[in-house]
Order: sequence, then C-alpha cells, then structure tokens
Amino acid sequence: MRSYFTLARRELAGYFVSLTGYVIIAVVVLLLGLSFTYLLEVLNGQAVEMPVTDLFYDAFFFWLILLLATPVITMRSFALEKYSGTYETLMTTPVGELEVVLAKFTSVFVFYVVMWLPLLACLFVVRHYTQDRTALDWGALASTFLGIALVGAVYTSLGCFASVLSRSQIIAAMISFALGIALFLLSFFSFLTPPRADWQSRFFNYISMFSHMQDFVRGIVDARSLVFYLSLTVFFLFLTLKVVESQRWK
Amino acid sequence: MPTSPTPSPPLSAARRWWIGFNVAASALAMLALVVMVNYLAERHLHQRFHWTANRQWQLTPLTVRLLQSVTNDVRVVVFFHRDNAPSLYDAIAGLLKEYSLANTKIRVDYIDYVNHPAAAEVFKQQYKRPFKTEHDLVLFDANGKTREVYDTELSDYDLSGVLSGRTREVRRTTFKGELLFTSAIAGVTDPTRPKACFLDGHGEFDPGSDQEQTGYSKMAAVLREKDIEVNRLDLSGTNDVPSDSLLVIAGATHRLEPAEVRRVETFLERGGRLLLLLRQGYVTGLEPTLATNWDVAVNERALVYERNNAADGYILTTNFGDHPIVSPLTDVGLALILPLPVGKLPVARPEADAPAVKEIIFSSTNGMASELDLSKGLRLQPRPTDPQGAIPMAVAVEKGGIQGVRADRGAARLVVVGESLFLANQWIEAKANRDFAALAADWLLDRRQLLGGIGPRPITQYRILLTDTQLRRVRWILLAGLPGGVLVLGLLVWWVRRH
Repeated sequence: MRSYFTLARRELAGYFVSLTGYVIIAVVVLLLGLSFTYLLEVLNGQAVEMPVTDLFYDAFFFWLILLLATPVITMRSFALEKYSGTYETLMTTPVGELEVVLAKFTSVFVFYVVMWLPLLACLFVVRHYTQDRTALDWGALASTFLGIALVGAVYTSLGCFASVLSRSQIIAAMISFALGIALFLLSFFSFLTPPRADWQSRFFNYISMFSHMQDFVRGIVDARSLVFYLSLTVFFLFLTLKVVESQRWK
Repeated sequence: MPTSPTPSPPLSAARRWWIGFNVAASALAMLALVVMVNYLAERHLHQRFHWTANRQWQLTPLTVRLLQSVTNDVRVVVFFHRDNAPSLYDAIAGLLKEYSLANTKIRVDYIDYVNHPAAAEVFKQQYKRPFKTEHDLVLFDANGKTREVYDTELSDYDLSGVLSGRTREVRRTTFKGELLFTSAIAGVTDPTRPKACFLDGHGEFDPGSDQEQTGYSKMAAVLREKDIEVNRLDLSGTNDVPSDSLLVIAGATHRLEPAEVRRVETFLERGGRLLLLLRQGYVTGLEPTLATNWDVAVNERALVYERNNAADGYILTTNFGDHPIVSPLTDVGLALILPLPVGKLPVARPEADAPAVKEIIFSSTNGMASELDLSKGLRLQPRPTDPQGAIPMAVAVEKGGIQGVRADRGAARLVVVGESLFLANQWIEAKANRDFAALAADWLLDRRQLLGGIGPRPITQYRILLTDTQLRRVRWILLAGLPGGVLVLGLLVWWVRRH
C-alpha cells in the first residue's frame, strides 16, 4: 500500500511540477470560459427555466473537453515510461502490477478532477449575474461534479489502457481518442431511434452518457449510473492490468 | 567461485499461445461480468437519490404508492413535437422517466408526429382518435382504457405581463404533470368501469339510435371508447341515479317531474356528475335548482346568434374560457346550433364550498342573445336592450372540492351546455365537437381531487442580466484572467524549480 501511495504521489507530481499540467488546465479553463461566455451572450436578458448546471451541460464544450483532455492527460502514464526506458526498472522493483496500474490511474484521475475545479468559478460567475440564488443548487452542483468524476473515471481508465498498449504517446493518445469517440458515439443511438419501451431503446438509453449526465446535472444520482460507470472503469483497469502482466512474459 | 546467472529459456510458442488464450478468456469473462452486472442493475436497481433542495424531480409518496399498486401494463404515449415547447417536453420526459423507473409496468413511448408521421398515423389508427385538435398530448392506456392529458392542461400561465403590455412573453408558473399523470394512471388502472346513464322518458336524444338528427349513438361510442359503460336511466319509478355514474340529460323536450328533479338534486348534493345538454325552446325543470344551488343562469326563452350571421343559426366559435375541457380546442373550435345563453349568475357567496362556476364557451364578440317569439316557432325578436358581445353558452361547475368538506365522493361537477344537437350523430363530427364530448366526460369522471397530496410544482425562472460593460468584464475574466492565472502559476512553479 505504501508503494502505491509513493507511486501515485510521484505520478501526480509529474503533472504539477512541470509546465505540461498547467498548460492542459489553462486550455481547459479557456474552453470552459468560451462555453460560458457563449451562454451568457445567448441568454442575456432572457428568462431561463433550467438551472445553471443544466445549461452548461447543454453546451457541447463539456463533451469536447472530456474527449480531448483525457487522451492528453493519460497518454504519458505508461507510454512515457516505456519510451524513456524506466518502465522495465519500475517492473523489476518489488511493486505489484496492480499497485502500478492503480497508482497511475489514481494520479491521472486526481489530475482530471483538479482540471475541472475552475468550472466552479464559472458557475458562480453565472449565478452572480442571475441575481437569483436558486439558479445554482448545491445538490445539483455536487451531483454534477459526481457525474463529471464518474465519466472521467471511465475515460481516464480507457486512456491508461491505450497508453499501456504503445511506446509512443501520440499513438496512445490517438487510440484513447478513437476508443473514447466510439464510446461517445454509442450514446447517439438513443437519439437516432425514436424512444420506445422496447428492449433496444432501453439498451441504447442505458448506455447513453447523455442520459446519465442529464440526471446528474438535475441533481439526481441514479444507482444504475454508478454501476455503469464504475463497472466500465473496473473493466478498462482490468484490461490494463492484463497488458501490464503480459510484459513479464515477454 | 561465483557463477554468472543463466538466462531463463524463452517461452515456447505453445506456452505463449496458452498464456495469450488465458488473457483473452479472462478479458472476455470480465466483459461478461460487466454486462451481467449492468443487466441486473438496469432491471432491478432503481434507486434514485435526489440531491436538489426543491426535489423537483422526486415523485410524491402518493404517486409512489399508486405506482407500486399498479400490476397491469400501462402504456404511455407522448405524442409530442419537442420544438413546440422544449421546456415542457423536457419536464414531461423527465417526470415520466421517474414513473417508469418507479414501476417497470409503466412503459413510455415517444412519437414525434412531425419527424415520424408514419408512427403518428399508426397511433391515430390504433386509438381511433381523429385528433382534430393538433395538440401535443400524453395518452395513458391500460387494457384499452385510455386517458389523454393535453399540453395546454399541463401548465398554469402568467399572462399579466402580456396583458399590461410589458412583455410579449407568456410565463409558465406551474407544472401540473404529476397531478395529471397520476390521476390518469389511477383512472386507467381502476378496475371499476365508470358508467354513464342517459336519462330516458322526456324526449331526450337516444344513445342507441343511429338516426342522424335524433340519434346519439356516436356520442355513446365516444364514451365506450373511453371504457365507459353506457346505460339508459328511467327516474319515473323509484329508481335513483346510481351514485358512481355520470348522468347525461341530452336535449329533454318534456319537463322532469318534481320527484325526478329531487332525485337529480340529491345525486348532485352527494357529489354526482351531470352533463346537461339543453334544447332550444324547451324547459327541463332543472333550471330553478341550477340557479338556486349552482349559480347557473339559463335563459330558456332566448337564443344566441352572431349578428352578422343570424340567418344560418349556427355558431362556429373558438372563444373559450380557461378550462381543461375547452383549452385543447382553441385551434379548431366548436360548431353549435341555435344555443341558449348559459352563464354564471352574478351572486357572491361567502361559503367555503360555494359552487365554482366557469363560463367555458362563448360566442364571438359579435354575438347577441335575443328572446324567441314562441308563438311563431323559433323566431327571434331582437330588441336594442338585448345583451351583446361574447355571450356565454356553457358552464362547468364544481362544488365541494375543498378537502374535508365533502368526504364521500369528492366534488360534484356539472357541465351545462345551452345546446344538444351539436353532439347528435349529424353534428358530432363537425369541428371539434367530438373532442369536446371526450374531454367533458374526462373532466366529469375525473377523481383527481382524491389526489390531494399532489399539487402543481412551481416553475422557477431567472434572468441573466448583464450590461455591455459587465459582459466585457466577464469575457476578460473567463477568457484571459482565469486561463492566464493558471499559466502564470505554472510558470512560477517552473521558474522556482529551475532556480
């Protein structure tokens, strides 16, 4: 367990002591700023029935940030170690493969969550100009962040899996982006077919990340969403672990 | 003497294949496990935690209890084009999602009649609804028993801004989705079949007759489509009006006996439901009790007509009051033939359970009500003092809807229309007359007051108000200040580490 924390701390420090981590966060903050500036310009003077969290989720920037940022922050987790030759050294230390995988995932995930914190500032700016305290509900805010964290857990675990497959960070990012886009596009099937009560519609609705996220931004935490995201995260981490184990055999 | 370590022999191809197979098998097993867990969660794990302060999407305990008692499949069809009212559509979809998760027997289908006209046509055929009023609606169906909730019923609106000229925006103030949906589900899953009793023996229109002028078979069919049992009722003997039924008096041409009037009065006092359709030139005998007990004024000696169309005798109107029976009809309107003026008596009652009378159908502002010269048939005798303008021709009355005031059956409800020919076989398909019949039956048989724990949910609206200067400032903060701050912090860390 100690080695897990040591590894996770080392990985996390990799983001925060280099300029790379700050550049990623700055780009994400810029995209968030663009999103909110757009919303404020469009909705200025209009009566709005949705809470602020719902408004932000409706803008496409949310998914853009998710799809672009996660490959960038995960690509280095394993690929950089392989490229720089420190991976073999790491694997010969008395540290279990599971600890390595979990430590790298934890550091990436924590960085991902920190990356989203400026969203709070943006939401408070919007609330300030609505002059209505009910426009931002604390419960909805908490569940929105829970949703962001859960979607992020899936995408960062997916990114770790992509990173472990390659020595090149670029290739890892591309694999992660392609898999992420595929997962994202599956959500669109729920829009392509008219919503019915049949099993196909229920299936596509269940795997639709839009549907899950819509609940979160409305302040609803559905146990099925928790199961969906956590099980996918575990699945991708399991695949990552299997690939890491396979390095030993080579 | 130390010996150099001997490298372990490379894995054989068979061994490598076997290990690869094991990895693939374990990955597949894990995938199967993930699928299985999600399958079980989708079917059985329906816990939803509502974290918002106002619990906007949480169902009331009354609805949850009702849904838990539903054992038959209930099909809900949202026949709606989202672009017409996006926020209302989202509210409906969000609410129905909660219903279907609370009980998997509630199955929700969505039909966008603009984007999926074929599905819309199938729906119309399946439910034998002409839907002349092209309104968005939500239909509930359990074993063929149906109930519709129209979009116009689902919200209360604040028109004060529009009327005062301050804004052109009509503001939605409340959303009544849960009240209406729960009521509809309670209605369609109720195993008891509602009854409609057509009063007989006074020259009324005949619900069993296919005659074009005197038959009411199409009206009876409308009721049967709503799974309402249609019976005839003779009050001349010792029969009482069955307490759980809807009494229909359709165009009586002979006065009811005093004993019959008393029976109708008793029925209404006990929370009965009455659809009274009057006929020109005839008196039913109920008029005095309507005035005394229900504040309804009927002038059986007068007729309503349009001043510029007096010769035709019929009135095509789209001028309606704010009421669930008529609000879905505003686009198409009703066709009435020589109606009597029926309105609200101008009396002020201090009692808590005073009848609430709503005038629901009016002539256009070009209308006039003149008395008849009965010695010359239905000939009008216009006088300069006759009432002019929008003349009321029908009322909907509710009495005793206050909780605790009437414990037995809830509120009594009446719909009195100064016309009966418009629902006869010849005229019922004209304009939205048929829809009126269905909506009136729905309202009269509704027991939603028993769902007293569910109220309309207030809709919170807010405005983002920024001056140009403020907008510029926000733009600077969001696009330069925040990202720049993060970059400066990064550079600072980088510089500290370098030095």
